[in-house]
Order: sequence, then C-alpha cells, then structure tokens
Amino acid sequence: MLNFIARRLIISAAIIVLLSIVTFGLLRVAPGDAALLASGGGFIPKEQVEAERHERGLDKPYFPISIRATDPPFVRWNSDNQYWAWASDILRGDLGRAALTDVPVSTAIKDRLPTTLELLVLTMSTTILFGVPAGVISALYRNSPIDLTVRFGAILALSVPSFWLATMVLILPSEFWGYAPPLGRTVSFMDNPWDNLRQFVPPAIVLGIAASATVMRLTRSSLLEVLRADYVRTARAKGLRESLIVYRHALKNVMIPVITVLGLQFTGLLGGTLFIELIFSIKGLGFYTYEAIFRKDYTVVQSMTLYIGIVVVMTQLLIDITYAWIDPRIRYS
Amino acid sequence: MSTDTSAIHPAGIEQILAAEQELRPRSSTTRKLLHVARDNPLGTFGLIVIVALLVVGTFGPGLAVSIPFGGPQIVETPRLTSHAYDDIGVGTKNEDPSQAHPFGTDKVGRDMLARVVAGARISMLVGFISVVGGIAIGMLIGIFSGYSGGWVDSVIQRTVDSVIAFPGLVLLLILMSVFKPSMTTVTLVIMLITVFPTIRISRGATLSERNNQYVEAAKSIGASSNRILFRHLAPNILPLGIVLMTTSLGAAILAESALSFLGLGIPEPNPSWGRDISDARNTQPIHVWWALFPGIAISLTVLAFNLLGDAIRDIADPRLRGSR
Repeated sequence: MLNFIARRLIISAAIIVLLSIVTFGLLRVAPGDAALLASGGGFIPKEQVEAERHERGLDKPYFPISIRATDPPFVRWNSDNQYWAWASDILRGDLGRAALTDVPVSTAIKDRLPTTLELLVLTMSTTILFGVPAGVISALYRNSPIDLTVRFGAILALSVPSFWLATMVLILPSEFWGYAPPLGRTVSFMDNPWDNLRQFVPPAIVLGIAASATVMRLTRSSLLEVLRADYVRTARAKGLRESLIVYRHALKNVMIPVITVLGLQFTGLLGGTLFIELIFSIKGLGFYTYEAIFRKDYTVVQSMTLYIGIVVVMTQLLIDITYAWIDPRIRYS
Repeated sequence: MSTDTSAIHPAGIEQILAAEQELRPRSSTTRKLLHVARDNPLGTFGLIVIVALLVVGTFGPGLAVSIPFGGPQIVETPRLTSHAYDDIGVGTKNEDPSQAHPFGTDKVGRDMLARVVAGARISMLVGFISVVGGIAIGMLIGIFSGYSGGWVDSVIQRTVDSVIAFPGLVLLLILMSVFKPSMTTVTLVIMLITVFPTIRISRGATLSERNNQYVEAAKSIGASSNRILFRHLAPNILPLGIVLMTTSLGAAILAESALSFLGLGIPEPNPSWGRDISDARNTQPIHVWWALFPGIAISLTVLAFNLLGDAIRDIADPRLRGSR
C-alpha cells in the first residue's frame, strides 16, 4: 500500500511540474503585452513600459534552456530566467502578486476560497442527493414509466448548457416577479444565513443538475450490473428481503464506481464554478481566474492553474487510494 | 459536458448483425432499418432532429453557389427565413415574438429566427469538423500507442492522464486566451481537447483486440506490423470511432457555445447561439426572448446528439441496452 501511494505521489508531482511548464510557455506565446497591461495599458510612454518590463523581469528569457535556429549557439543555457524565478518563488510559498491591483495571490485565494468551497459543497450535496436516489429508483423500476422519465430527464440535464440555465434562473424570476438574489457582494453565512443561501443555493442547483445526471446514469447501470451478480442471486436464494439485498449487498459495490465519478465530477466542477460565479457575480476563485485570464495577468493565471492542478491531482490521488483500499485487487495490477 | 464513453465493444455490431441474419427471415434493408428505428424511438428522434438541423443549417441562411463554366459569378440561393441574420433594423429593437418576427428581435433589430437558423450552420460546422478531426487523430495515436506498448505507450498515456485530469473548461479558456478567437482557432482548440479522451479509449480497445486469435493468426503467417494494424485491427476498432463521434458532437457543440458565451468563441459578424445569450444577458433591461431561443436551440441540438449517441452505443453493445 505504501509503495502504491509513493508511486502515485511521484507521478502526481511529475504531472504538476509538466503542467506548470506548459502553462508558463502557453501564456508567453499568447498575444498581448503583460508589461503594458501592468503599467496601466493604453497610451503609456514606451520608456515607462520598458522600465516596468525590466522591473518585473519580463525581459529575461522564458526558460533555462532556449533554442534559437538562426544563429549559434543553437541551444543556450540561461541561468537567469523567468520560469526559474517564478518556480523558486512558488517553492518558497510566494504565489506572486496580481499585476493590476498588486494584491498577493495568496491573500486573494485566502479571501475567496471559502466562497468557492461553499459553492462546491452545496453543489456536491445536490449531486449526491439527486443523483444516487434517482439512479437506484431508475434501476429498481427498470423500463417502467418512472425509469424512462428519469432517464430522459438525465439526458436532458446533460444537454442543457449550464450557462444558459443559470442565465434563465436569474432573469426569469426578475422578469416575472421582480425577484433577484443579493448580487454583487458575497454575503457570509455567519453574517446573514438567509441571504447567503439565497445567493448560493440557485447556482449550486444549476451546477448540480448536470453532475447528478452523470451520477444517476452510473448508479443505475452499476446497480443493474450488480443485481445480476451471483452473490445477489445467492442472497435471493437464501430468502433475504429485496430491500435488504439492495441496500446491504448491492449498493455497497455500486458505490465504488460512483465514488470515482464523484471525484471526477468534483474536478469538472472547478471549471463549472468559473461560469456560475461569473453569471451570479459571486466573487470566488472561478471569477478571479476568469478575470486574470482576460487581463493576461501571467502571475495570477500561472498560480491559479498550478493551484487547480494540485487540487485536481490530489483529488485523483485520494480517489486512487480509496479505490485501492476498498478493492485490494487494484493495488497489484 | 460529459462524454462518458466507457465500456464499448467495437466487435459488437458484426456479432449482432450476424446473429440477426441467422434468426430473422431475410428482409429488405429498409425493413431492417425500420426495425432498428422502432426499437430505438429516442435515437430515431435524435436522428430526425439532427437531419433537420443539417438541412436548416445548410439551406436556411441561403447558399452562395459559384457557377463553374459560366465564369466566376456567384448565385445566391433563396433563404428559408424572410430576413438575413445580419440585416440590422428589420424590426425595432428588442421586439417580443410576433408574426413578422417569430423569435423577436435583438438590440439592433435583427431578426432572431434568422440568427438562430444561421447559428445552426456555425454550430454544426464547428462541431463536425472538430470532432471528426479530433477522433481521427486521437484514434490513430491511440491505436499506435496500444499496439506498440512499452515506454512509448507509457509516455503517451501519462500525458493523456495529466491533460484529462485538468478541468476541460479551464483548459479551453487558457487555450483560447492564447489564440485570437476565430472560427478556425475555436475549431482547432475543441479538436485538441477531443483528441485526448479518444486516445485513451481507442488504446483500451486496441489492447483488448490485440490479444485476439486472428491477430496471432496473422502474425503466424508472417504479416507485417503495418498490415496487422491497418488491415486487421483498424477495421475492428472503427465502429468505436462512430460511437465516439456521436457522443462527442454534443460536447463539442456545448463547448463552442460556452466559449462564445464567454466572448472567446466565434467572433462577429458570424451568429453564434452562445454569444447571443451573453449579449442578451448584458443588455439593460434584459430581453428574455432574446436569450430564450438560442438556449433552446443549443439544448435541442445537444439533446439530439446525446440521444442518437446512446442509441448507437446500445446497438453496438447489446449488453448495455437500456442500461444507460
């Protein structure tokens, strides 16, 4: 088991390093001038922009190794480069500062994490609360009208774009009843639980609907498969009650793939929150990342990508370990 | 935006067809197709919607046809809608649906029906090109990876793992912030993110196919690697590609509309369902009808592809029939 975890940890670290290099490179090829943006943008004297560029180290080579096809030496070694400067800051725990506001990225994360976390927790609850029971009911009443309705509902939920659903959830009530949830600033649960829930529950349900459709489909198909297994037949032959067979014997095995998919849904939701936070103007990490991508704020995008990458890889690792722990066969394959 | 494509057995189609030939009395192809259609009403519905969308997308906004022998002149075919999608001021601003404008008008008085119809062409074009390209590239790499094995396979698979782990939407956004938004870049970026899951799935199929006896038999009579790959393995994995394409198309169309919604997708003057929703949202006061119809169009299109994809998967693998 320890061996297994160690191996997975090394792979995870390698993935994160790879990710950081790729994002770093991609952002550097992106059109748009970070130095110009940092100095205010628009009609700034050229010298001032160059000074800003020098101060931020944006005139240095990008990577430790640079390749030039035009003049020898074709492969150069740069001891002073942007990637290394950034990476060593990260290793020291300094995530850098936002170019425009000069607020440290770590402060922004600390301020905004609770918001996004609350949204994610509510969304995951919605997903489990809708997805698992719907899947179980659908499998137990296979091919009945209930099953067909639930299945069609799930396909429909996977087809409706969440950004449109969110837009509709916001504009329809305001059009017909003049109702709007508190917008603009984020209300903390401690200060005003009611306003806080009014703000967070609609986006959580919108995000959770699509995720729960996936969970429902998987719960249904795994349960159907398990109900055909020999041990379920044995349980039936022993004369156990059907409810006992389903809840005690079958569901336990169904939960293994469902947990995996829940983990995958969680990482997928990190992308979903970006939309939802934007539409509901909730100032969380998704909103922050979106703004940074739009402003070409290198530091913030890099740090946020790394941050999301670490969360994703750690979730993956956690799933793998849980999986290997539940099912010993996996460790040896 | 889920493209769940686990557990597909490409050999399924042939097996079923063979079994059906034995069991059923000989019937015409049309009757066979009708049988399949009757068994999969939802899939048939999806197919009908898709065909309708293709027709509407192709002929709706009108075609510009150049005449090959009579010189370089271009003949415009009539549109299905009474206005063009970019005719500004055919109605007043932000009109509600009426007989003249069944879907209403947008903030500069363009006919929304014409825009939704023209949007179908853009969605279908971007969706089809990116998915067909992405699946083709992905399957080539996947089959190669699975067949060669060893460190080549490991490197490819680890790369795929790390890309797939990252949230798709964030990846799309970062990629699109690098490129200048245009139809070409949107198509390429969606193609790129279709490639990775395809690699993983087609590699899995290759691995399970590689151990079959017919591969061993081909090897024993001295067939080269290339011959085994292209003459023996590829035809058996190809049906998987068709299943993957249908299931990925819905996701691709969703991705395009999402990018356009964020202002990183199809640029003006091309109409895009996603951008129309975002434009409607950002107008004060919000014009509900303007946001409603493009959203219904996206939902219906993606629903049709998902239904058809599910039906094709059921046909390809009868063990999963009705289970998903």
